[in-house]
Amino acid sequence: MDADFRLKGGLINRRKPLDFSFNGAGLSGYAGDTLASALLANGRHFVGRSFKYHRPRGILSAGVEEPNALVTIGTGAMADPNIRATVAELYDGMVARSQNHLGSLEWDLLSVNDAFSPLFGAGFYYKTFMWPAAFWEKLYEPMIRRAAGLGALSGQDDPSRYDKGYRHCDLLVIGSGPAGLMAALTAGRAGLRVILAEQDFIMGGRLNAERERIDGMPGAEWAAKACAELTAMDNVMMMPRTTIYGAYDHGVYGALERITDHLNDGEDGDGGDQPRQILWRIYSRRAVLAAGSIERPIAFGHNDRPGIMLAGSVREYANRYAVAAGRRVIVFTNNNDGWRTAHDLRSRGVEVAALIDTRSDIDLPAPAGVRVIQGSAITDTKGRTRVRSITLMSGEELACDSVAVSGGWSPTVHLTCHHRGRPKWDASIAGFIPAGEIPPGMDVIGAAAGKMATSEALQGGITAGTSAARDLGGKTVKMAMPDCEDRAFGIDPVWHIPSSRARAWVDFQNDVTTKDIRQSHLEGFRSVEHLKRYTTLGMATDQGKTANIPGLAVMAEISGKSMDEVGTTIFRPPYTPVPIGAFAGRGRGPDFMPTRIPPSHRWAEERGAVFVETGLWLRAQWYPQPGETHWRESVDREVIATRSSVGICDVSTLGKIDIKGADAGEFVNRVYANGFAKLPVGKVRYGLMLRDDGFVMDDGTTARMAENHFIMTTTTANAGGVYRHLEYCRQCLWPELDVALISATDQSAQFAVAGPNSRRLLEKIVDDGVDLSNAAFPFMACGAITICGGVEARLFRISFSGELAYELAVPARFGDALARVLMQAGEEFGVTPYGTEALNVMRIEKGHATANELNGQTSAHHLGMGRMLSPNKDFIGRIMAHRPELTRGDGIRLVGLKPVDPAKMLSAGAHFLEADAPSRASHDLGWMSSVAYSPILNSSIGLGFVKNGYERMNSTVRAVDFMRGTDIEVEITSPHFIDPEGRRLHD
Amino acid sequence: MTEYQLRETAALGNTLIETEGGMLMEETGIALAAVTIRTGKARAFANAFSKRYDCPPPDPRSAVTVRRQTIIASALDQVFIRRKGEPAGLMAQLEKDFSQSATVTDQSDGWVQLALTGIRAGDVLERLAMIDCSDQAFPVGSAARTVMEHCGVIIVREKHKPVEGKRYLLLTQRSSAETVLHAILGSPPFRQ
Repeated sequence: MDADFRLKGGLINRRKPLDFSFNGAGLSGYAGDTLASALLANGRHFVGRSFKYHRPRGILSAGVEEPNALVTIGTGAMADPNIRATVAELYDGMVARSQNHLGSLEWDLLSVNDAFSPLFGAGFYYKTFMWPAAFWEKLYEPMIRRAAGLGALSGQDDPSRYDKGYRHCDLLVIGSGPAGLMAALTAGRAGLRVILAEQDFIMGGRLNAERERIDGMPGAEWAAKACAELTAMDNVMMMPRTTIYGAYDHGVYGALERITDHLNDGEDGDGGDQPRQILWRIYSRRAVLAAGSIERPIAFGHNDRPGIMLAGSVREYANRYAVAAGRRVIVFTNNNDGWRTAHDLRSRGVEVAALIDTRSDIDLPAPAGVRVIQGSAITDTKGRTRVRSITLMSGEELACDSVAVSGGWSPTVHLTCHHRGRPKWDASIAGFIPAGEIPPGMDVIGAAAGKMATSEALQGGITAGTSAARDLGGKTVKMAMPDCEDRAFGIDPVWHIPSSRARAWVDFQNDVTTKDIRQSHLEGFRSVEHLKRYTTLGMATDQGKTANIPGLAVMAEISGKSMDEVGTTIFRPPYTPVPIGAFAGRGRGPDFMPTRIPPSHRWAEERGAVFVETGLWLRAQWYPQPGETHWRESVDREVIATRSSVGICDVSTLGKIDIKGADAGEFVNRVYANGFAKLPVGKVRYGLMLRDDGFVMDDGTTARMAENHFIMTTTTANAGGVYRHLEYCRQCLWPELDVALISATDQSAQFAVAGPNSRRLLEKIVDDGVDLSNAAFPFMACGAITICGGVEARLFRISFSGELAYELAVPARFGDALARVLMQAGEEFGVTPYGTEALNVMRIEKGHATANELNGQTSAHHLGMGRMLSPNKDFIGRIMAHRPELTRGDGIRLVGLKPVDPAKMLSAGAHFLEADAPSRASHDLGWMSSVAYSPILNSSIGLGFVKNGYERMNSTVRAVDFMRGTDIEVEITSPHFIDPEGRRLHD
Repeated sequence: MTEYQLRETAALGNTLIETEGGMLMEETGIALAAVTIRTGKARAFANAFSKRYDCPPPDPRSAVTVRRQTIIASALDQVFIRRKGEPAGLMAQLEKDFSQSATVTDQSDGWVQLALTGIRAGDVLERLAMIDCSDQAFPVGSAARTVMEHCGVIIVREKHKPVEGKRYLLLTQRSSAETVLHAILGSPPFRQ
């Protein structure tokens, strides 16, 4: 079972072997492996091609910083590109493949790019492919994109489910290395609510990668023990496989928890019904960043060959995954940590051909049997798909199959920068440490703060945990400092080897070399932000986690500046890539937004209604009958039936606002432009509501149910906005008024009963004593009644259709039943339910304005309602409504429109022009706001705004619709196509 | 006398869903009214409230159950009051009690009332509500007006037996209650 490179020990579960495939080849690993460790165990270093030059690339690291080993995992719709093999937890049946090659990985046709590398230097696309200009978009750019890229999406809908959630804690601990664990233990024992988030699938951070001992036991064992204690605490939540990807305002952190990524989650997978990932919003009172540090490479000639890795990662593969990176490893370092790798490899039986340190006179114990070369460096390497040898400055060539490189460690400061914090350079560790505006409430400890010793990490955890406990009301606990081994951290930074003549890579993911940085400097792109954009240093999925600091250092060196002067680019969320699906969470398809339904929705469904979204509401648009093949047939039938007998329409969706209080009348009078102060009890009035700027905001009817009680209706889509406006008026403008508002939209089901037989229908369901005669209940009357044997209801004699009509409201729980009863009782009249389309046809026939006309750009004068603006009172928008431009006599006016040729159809959005005017905006006379086909008039009709419209009555203009390509002659008419005298309303 | 009768329909069809660790039940037959303190009448309201319930009005973000009525502080100047029975009865009582100090509006049909119970009831809220509904932050007697899946809700933490379980009362608008129900049933423990 064991592959050639598997060592003994490690934290893998050898009793659980796992099969997987890479590029179709069957391989095996163990539970506890990552894809990368399993590939290395099988001797596979060469796993991908570079971004631009398509050079062979191998696994560089063992963590989230990986720039090279990006693979696609899964098949079909489940295929997920650009997954870092170094953090992909191996599962049985995993199917992985390499990406970014034309042909096989081994024989990539695009590797020819490497031969032309002199042409493809930094910013080549700013200077080449310039001619002919038209070729850029059609040919050059697609070609470049095809040649340079990452993985490809499956092109299919993502079948995975994602979720989101909210968690709260006193202390969020980010990272579970020695610092994080100690902070969590301290705060947990103090009784704080702690969340410990770890991006890895096992807790412990670097303790799992090292051989050092804490409290007399291996670090990994100490971590496991600490985790066991934390898991047992009710006040601590452990979140492995969770990346804190962003620090936001007010202690809010974004977290991505991977739930099933480590499971074979295909169609019949192990993930079951669980979401693939959960995006958590974590609200914390305090946070501790214990994210450790990330090792960086050194730029030397051909340092990108497979087999050349980061030294700490080589050590981690050996210690944690029991995998030797090679059979003959060379360690190249500028710091003490490289020596540690050499020691660990030797102790695990791996041959270390040489330990090369750029420094001289280093007095550290050398690993037994290892040749130590000080004051030298690697200048070049050989090997096509795997490093074969290295060349020293002296010219000596050493054979090897792996090189472990350590250019030092950079504190993981990214989250400290999400509030624009600018880290500062710490020469003692040759790294940037947190500074400036770090997120409020955040403590940074351990290696993330530049404290590289284990003892400093543990002490930092105790201090941060204690501080949080003290500040947040936790218990006082005395924490004992664990015994631990410390190793001196020493570094003499060397970023690149100047004597290397070959290309030396700084950013592996973006194929950026030291030469590219020189080129950037030469051309004046010297600011770090310019450097980034010009060379692409630090872009793409890894965001330069291994590349930034070496790249900036090279720029500093070239420009003669200090690292502090050069600074860093801004680190922004997300820290590591977050799938768009996770951001969307549940909000996909029909779950994108809430749906509101009226009480009669089921009844409408039973009748086969076709629904339309109106705001969040689903409203019945029309009710098709058997044999009807086109929506117009249904709508025409509904209109004719309503105008000839009776129809019912659910109008529950209209906003309803209950207004009560001693000053309710005064309040309504101020928010409407027309007078309401004298509206008698038992009467309804149409009201026009203006914005502060004098334009119309909304309209509706308001009923005075009692002296101090009004019910205001609003348009369906504007209900929320109007309510908010009223609350603003009540709370901010007129707090002295004794008035209370509450939304009552959902409280009642309301039906329009319209048509000449509407009264007769209602008379069948109202209780004895309710007189609906014209005399007792005239047009615009309202009142509380009872129906169907005592059910309390409200009746309003109002009409949107222009017919004799009522609106009947009952408590919502009776809404479904009321629809059925109205149909039953109306059977003898041929009652017809009608939807919003028929409603729209009838209101256009009647000349009633709706959202199309009240679009926020029209005034009362435009709508022909100028006379409604009361001169006898103050109201919202009064002054501004009388601006000359809004009241000018030749301004736009709402008119009716008919095609001169009845066979022509009008289109909404058409613009009006004089017959002989050129089709230009300067000749625009107005626009068509609403159109419908009137089955009563047998013609297309419309409403629209025409300049000087009243003076143009009965004249013709052109209606030009550039979108639909129509240009027809239309006649300007009164907007009241039907019953202009209003006789039917008053019948 | 009309021959027609109207039958009540529960917004969610009297939903009752049980799973390991959680149960969701639509509570019907419960009247609900909004009581808003009139301008300048806070003291009069407090007096009237104390007279009626023998206790002061609940503080904002809390609820109290007394005399078989639950009073939820839903805003600085507003409480919601719920009790079993017909809305008319509750309205009559409240209009009498607070005739001088508050306005009363029937909201019985505007809201769907859901009882979410069980030892994993909190798991649902963790996915849907951004407020902290843990035992520490939201003990029995707490109330909050917030949103779940963009829908307005009032959440009340109530006493529950057996004691190891939790009980949350969720009030949400009737028209969007199906969205809220869908969201709840898409959350643990109803769906993992």
